[in-house]
Formats: sequence, structure tokens, C-alpha cells
Amino acid sequence: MNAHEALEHTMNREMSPRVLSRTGGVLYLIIIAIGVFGEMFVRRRLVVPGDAAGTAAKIQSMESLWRFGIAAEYLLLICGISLAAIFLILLRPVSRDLAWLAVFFNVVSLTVEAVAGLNLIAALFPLGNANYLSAFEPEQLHTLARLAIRTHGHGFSVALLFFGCFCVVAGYLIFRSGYLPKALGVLMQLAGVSYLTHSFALILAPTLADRIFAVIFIVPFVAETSLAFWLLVKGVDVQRWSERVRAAQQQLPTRF
Amino acid sequence: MTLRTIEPAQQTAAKVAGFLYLLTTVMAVYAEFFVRSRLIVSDDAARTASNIAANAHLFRASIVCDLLMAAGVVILNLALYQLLAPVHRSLALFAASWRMFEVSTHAAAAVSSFVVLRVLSGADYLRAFEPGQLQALARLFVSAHGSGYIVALLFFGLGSTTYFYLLVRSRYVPRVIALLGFVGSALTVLFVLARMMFPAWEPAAIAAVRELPTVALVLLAIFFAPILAFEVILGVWLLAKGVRLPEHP
Repeated sequence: MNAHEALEHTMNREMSPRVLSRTGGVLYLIIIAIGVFGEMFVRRRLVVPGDAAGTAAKIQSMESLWRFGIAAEYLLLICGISLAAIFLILLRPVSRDLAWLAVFFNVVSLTVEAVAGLNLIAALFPLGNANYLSAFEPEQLHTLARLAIRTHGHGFSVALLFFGCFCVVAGYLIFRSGYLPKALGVLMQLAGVSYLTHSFALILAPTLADRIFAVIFIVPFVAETSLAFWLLVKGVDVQRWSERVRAAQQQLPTRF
Repeated sequence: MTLRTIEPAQQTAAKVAGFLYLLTTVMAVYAEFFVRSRLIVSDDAARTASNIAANAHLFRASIVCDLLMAAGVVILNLALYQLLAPVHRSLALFAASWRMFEVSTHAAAAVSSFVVLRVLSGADYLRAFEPGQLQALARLFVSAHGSGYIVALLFFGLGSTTYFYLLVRSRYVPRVIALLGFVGSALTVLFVLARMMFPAWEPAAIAAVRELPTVALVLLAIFFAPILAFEVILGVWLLAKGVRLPEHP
């Protein structure tokens, strides 16, 4: 038995697709909840648009909420990496190559998000009371904090660009799978297109991006929440899943 | 190492890799040499700032190129992995991981370029700083992008050296081409490490090369150009010829 057959063997014996998709559904819901929490209840509450001094004052007065948001963000990323591994196993029977491609895109987006998250921590530095900061005027320090928050926003949209690519590929695999509803595949692809539109708009026409921000995230929210609930409640169609796995295994001797 | 067959999937992967080698190289060259090196004046923050502000669209286009290139390398990386995993699975996985590091670092570095545009945007909250201070800040973020780029280049070099080593071993393409890429990627790693350790080395080397007589420059170019262009040479070869098994194993 070569390494690959051993892997398939283990996959069949130990990793029930049902358990995997349930776990995936739970992880996905946690991710969505943290994402909404961070955006609506932390950043929307503490960041005052166009007012660096007001933003600084709010963050200083609710520093622990800001820090809690950052911690939640990194918890989200841990869940995200685990979910990527689950998607790899769930979508592999459709096309090994494309499932890997999807995971590659996903991992890049998570890494960029991790780096972008550092800026949320960096926003706190100029707002502290360390001695060396007295070289700057208070307004300058507020501006530095504001810039760090802006940087996070841009990093996040770069991450979404790669996540958009993931959604398009994963959506295609879901559509083709036969063991997950075709509609979910289409929705995920629409979500991917929304993310890509947003990210490119932010680079090429930033004012347009600000205006469509609220609208453009409705599609991904609906798509990802539906997928998460479907994975949790219904999971994959186990009979069709086994057929696909068997079909994929028959092709295996010619593959690596 | 004996490889008896080439799978159809490997042949497809070779074509995809060839196409993406060319596409990503074009985007990288455009962003670096047609935009950044024209707009950025290395020791003049004020002129750099006014160049970027006056050509904001061009600068944005270079960021788009950086990100599209990163997305292209994700696909290129998968194609190279598919092509070379049969030669040595673990080494191919190593190479693929290094190039994933490269893409992530590259994409994260692109964020600094956005900040450059933000700092020069003239938004209200930026009035806390003098124009000269904003120009200096913008220059710092230009440098931050440059540092990120160099870090990405290190992982590129490591991944690419490993891939080309596998390509040499496999004999899928003429050995000259594979060796060119191997030497070129290995030199990239050395160059990056040298630049990180001895920042003064690069300008000194450039100044020294400029002093050389024309004949020596031409000879140098003839010798080094193929090593610098290994991605293009391999890309063209893979697209035109694909991969094949050695005739005399």
C-alpha cells in the first residue's frame, strides 16, 4: 500500500464525511459570528469616520474591547485554517487539483489577514503613554493610529481578494459535487465575485468602494451563512459522497 | 530515479506552468520597472511623493499587477507541484510551501503601497503633519513595501531552486534550461541574503558595474542575461514543447 492509498484508506475508515461537514459547519458559523462581531460591534463602534481625535479617544476609553476584538480575530484565523483543511477533504473527491487550488487561495488569504491584524495592535502603540511618544504632537499620534486602522482595512481587502478566488473555485466544486446542493455552489461563486469586485474597486476606485461597501457584503453573508448551516444541519449526501470517492479511487492508479 | 511515464495531467500542468511563468513575469516587470522604478526617486522623498500623487492611477495599476501576479503564482505553484511531485514528493511539497510563503509575503507587502496612497491622499486627519513629514512617512512605506518584496524574493528563491533541482533530476526539459533556472534561483537567494546583511553592497556593486568598459558590460550581459531570464526561457519551452522523457536514460 503506497502513501496515497494509505491516506484514502484512513480517510474512508476514520473521517466520516458527516462528522467532517458538521465540524466544518460549526467552524464556519464561529467565523461568521466573529467576523460580524469585529466589524459591527468593535470597529464600527470605536472608529469615528473622518475624526482621528474622536477615534483615538474612544479606543483609549474602551481599550479592552479593542483588544478583545483582536483576540477574536486571531481565533477566527485558527478556525479558518482548520476549515480550509476540512474543505480540502470534503471537495477532494470532485477534483483533487482544484480542491488544492482552493485551499492554496484560502491559506494565502488567511496569512494576509494575520499580517493585517498586526495593524490593529499597532494602532494602540501611538495611543499609549510611553515616554518616547512625546516627540510627536497629540494630533500626530491620533493620525498615526488612524493610519494603522486604515492599513488594516486595506490588508483585509487584499485578503478578501484571495478569499474571493477561493469562493469561486470552491463554489464550482460544490456545484459539480452532486453531494452538496448546486444552489450553494452558485451562491458561493456569487460571493466570490462580490469579494473580488469590492477588493478591486477599493484599489481602482476607492470612493466607489466606500459607497458599495454595505451592499456588496449581503451576497457573501447570505451565501456563507447558508453553506455553514447546510453543512451543520444536512451535511453531505453520504451515499453520493461514497460513489464519488469510489470513482476517484478508481482513477487513482494513474494519479499520484 | 527512473520515471517511466508522463501522465496527461503532467502535460497539462506543464502548459499551465509555462503560460503562467510568462504572464507573472510580464506583470512583475511592469510593476517594478515600468511603474515603481520610474516614480520612486531613491533619496528624494519630496519628488517621490509628487511623482506618486501625480501618477496615482499608474501606482494603483502596479498594486493590481502585484496582486494579480500573486494570484497567478498560486496557480503556477500548483501546476509545478503537479508536474514535479512524481519526481520527489516531499521535495516538491517543500518547494510548494516556500512559494506559498512567497505569495503571502508578497500580498502582505502590497498593503504598504496602499498606505503610501493614503498618506498622500490629502485627507483631513492628515493635516496634523507638515507636508514634509507626510512625504517622509510616504517614503517610509515605500521602503516597507521594498523590504516585504525582498523577503518574498527570498522564499521565491528557495522554492524556485528546489523546483528547478527537481526539473534537473527529472530531465523533463533540456538540462541546460533546468540548470539555468537552478543557478538563477540559487543566485537570487544569495543576492537577497547579501542585500539584507550588507545594505551598502548593492549600490557599490551597481557603481562598480557602471565603471566597466562597454566590452566587459556586453560580455557580462551575454553571460548573465539567460540566468536572469530563466523564467521566460522555461515558460516559452513548456508552452511550445511541454515535457518529455529522456531518450537515453
